[in-house]
Amino acid sequence: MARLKPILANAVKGVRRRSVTSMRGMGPVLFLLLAFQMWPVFQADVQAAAFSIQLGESERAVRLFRYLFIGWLFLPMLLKSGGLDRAELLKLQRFPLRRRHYFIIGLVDVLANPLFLSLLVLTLAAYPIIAAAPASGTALISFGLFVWGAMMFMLLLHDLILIIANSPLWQRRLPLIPIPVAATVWLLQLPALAPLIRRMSDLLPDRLLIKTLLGDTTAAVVLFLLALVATFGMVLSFATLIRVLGRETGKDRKAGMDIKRRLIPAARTPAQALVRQSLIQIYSGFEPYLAWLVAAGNAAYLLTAPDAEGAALFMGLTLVSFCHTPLAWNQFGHDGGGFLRMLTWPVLGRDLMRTRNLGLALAASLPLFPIILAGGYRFGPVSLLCGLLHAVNLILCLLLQGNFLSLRKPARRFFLPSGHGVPGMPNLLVAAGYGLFTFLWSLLAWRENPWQALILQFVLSLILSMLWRRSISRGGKHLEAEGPVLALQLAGG
Amino acid sequence: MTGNTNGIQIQGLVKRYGDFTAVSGIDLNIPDGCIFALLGPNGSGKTTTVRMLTGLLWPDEGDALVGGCSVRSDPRGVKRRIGVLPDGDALFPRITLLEHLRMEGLVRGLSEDETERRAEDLLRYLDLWEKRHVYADEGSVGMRKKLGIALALIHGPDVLVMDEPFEGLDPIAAARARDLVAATAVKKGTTVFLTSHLLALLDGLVDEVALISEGHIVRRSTVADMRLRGETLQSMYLAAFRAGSSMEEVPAWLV
Repeated sequence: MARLKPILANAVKGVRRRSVTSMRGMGPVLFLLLAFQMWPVFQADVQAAAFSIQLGESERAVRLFRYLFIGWLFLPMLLKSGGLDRAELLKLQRFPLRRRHYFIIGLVDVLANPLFLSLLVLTLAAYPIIAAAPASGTALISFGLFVWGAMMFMLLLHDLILIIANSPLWQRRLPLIPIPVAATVWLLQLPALAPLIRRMSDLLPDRLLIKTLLGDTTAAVVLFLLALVATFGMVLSFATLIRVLGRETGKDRKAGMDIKRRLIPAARTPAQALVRQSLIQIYSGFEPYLAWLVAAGNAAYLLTAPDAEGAALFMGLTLVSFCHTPLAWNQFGHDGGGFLRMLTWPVLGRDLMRTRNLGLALAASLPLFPIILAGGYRFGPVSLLCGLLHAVNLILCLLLQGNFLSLRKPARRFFLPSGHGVPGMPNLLVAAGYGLFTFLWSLLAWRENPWQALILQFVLSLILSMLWRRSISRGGKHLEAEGPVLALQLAGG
Repeated sequence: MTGNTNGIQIQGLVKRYGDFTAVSGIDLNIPDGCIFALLGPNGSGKTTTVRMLTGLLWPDEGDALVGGCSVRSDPRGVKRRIGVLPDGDALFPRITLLEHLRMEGLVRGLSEDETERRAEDLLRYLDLWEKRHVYADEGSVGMRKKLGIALALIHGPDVLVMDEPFEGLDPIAAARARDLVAATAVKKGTTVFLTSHLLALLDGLVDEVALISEGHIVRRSTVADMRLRGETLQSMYLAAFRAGSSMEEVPAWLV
């Protein structure tokens, strides 16, 4: 234990320092932002919110869930600044440690991480809302929230497992560990599903054979368990898919790479090569699959929920782009080596910026299409156009932020939801940008006039396009003037 | 400074990082088709010089003409004329080796067919053809270095600037890379400016060397003159930077 002490102290110190570094100088702004995003949840009071949902104020319920969703989405980005990285693990493996030592270090590292606590608090806060969501539309959302929560916990525990499993002693047992972890997570959350079971019992047709045979409640429980098994299977398949698609190492990783090579066509031009690089890099992680899951859930909600509203289209687009586009932005030539290579090319800075932006826009907008199409099918052509413009605006906003940030700190990967050492200010800018759009669509939904929404979105598109063109031109000049400085930073000089 | 040649003329080049002067007013004139090696211990200013010559770093004072273009007034022209192997991996992690070469060829103005042909030739020569679909970040250090060399050469540059091109390569790969550089200079007349610590590999390759220490050129000689004096690269280097054994300086507790 004496030998372990300095390592543990170092692990905690590392987590604390990264947290402090990522939060430095932005404490008051961060607090205001959090308050802006979360105030409806706090102000409305959870119980009052539950009553309003029961009374059928689905619009308000949707809004509450949206804020909760957004809190869940960006808090990890802001707070997960701890965690042992691979280099630290490699260093640890030089010490003559036992298996239990790795476990203790991993546990300390995760518990010292502010994300763990924040997710725990958010889950507990979500329970009363979930429990009081009997309306079919909101029940669907609450169920989605539920799946999301399970996923987040799985991700966190998965990270813990990876930390432990990085010890060679644990490597062989790794594939078996996610199963009990997933099972535990689901069992822990079961009690909150009781209202959903009651609702299912009400919804079941009277002439259903299983209802006749087993009675109302038992039939609902059986059906619910079947649904749970199916969902659980889906989650496990999803986890397997993620593992196969490249999260892990060894054979799985190679298989994942082969799949991606087949799915993403070979590049023949510089622009194609950069887009391909971006796509493969994005889909090597865990998060984009969650973004697609959220996209599929939102599209399904738009197509099937009887009380779905036009605002849900905007909400879906905002949420998915929030999940997906920062990842795309993160990967597109922002790695030090790729950026340095681009700086050796004899091209104008403006052209370089434009190529990167176009490729990034394509990579980032992929999962938005199912939602736009579903929204168009459900609400008609005006909403389709509105959705398209909203997506364009989101992407333009992302490009503006990317152009601004990448030139100042070119090799930094700003958006690492499950990564380490995330700097605060860029995340703040992203959260503020997306917060603005969230606010705008709220305003539009309030008016409930798709034509007004369309005009407003169009004006916004025009303004953002002009800003984007300006950012390309200024960014290009900046790139040419500061290229050598950036190259020096990238080369570690 | 004026010039239209494929050589390199450096005049009073200075680079400072805060109070520290990395390169302190060096002057060099490297003729067309010459293979020139800049040698020196770690931290002596070699990489900084390479970065300034490739337009990746602004000089604080002085100028250099690379292939007839000034690094100060026409850095894009310099980038157009040169093939560069910078220090570190200037590679996209998730683009395959072949895709890197395709991209570089097209960016450098080659046609698609010509790019394909040259990429295949280079990959085969450097024993990378079988690995052409491997992502750059999945390759070994040696593979990435060989790819870097291929990227520097694919467009047939007039001037080749390479920072430690042979480090990290196995002996056979290093010898093949060395032959590739030599053939480019001898047959095509490309001027080569390189840095390296592998002195044995440079013997018989370079025409001229300069030794740099703390940002100053401390010695410069052609290989022909060195041979006349009965010197080798190794003996010249050791004489300039450290004479004798360092065995007596090993900490006592270690032995």
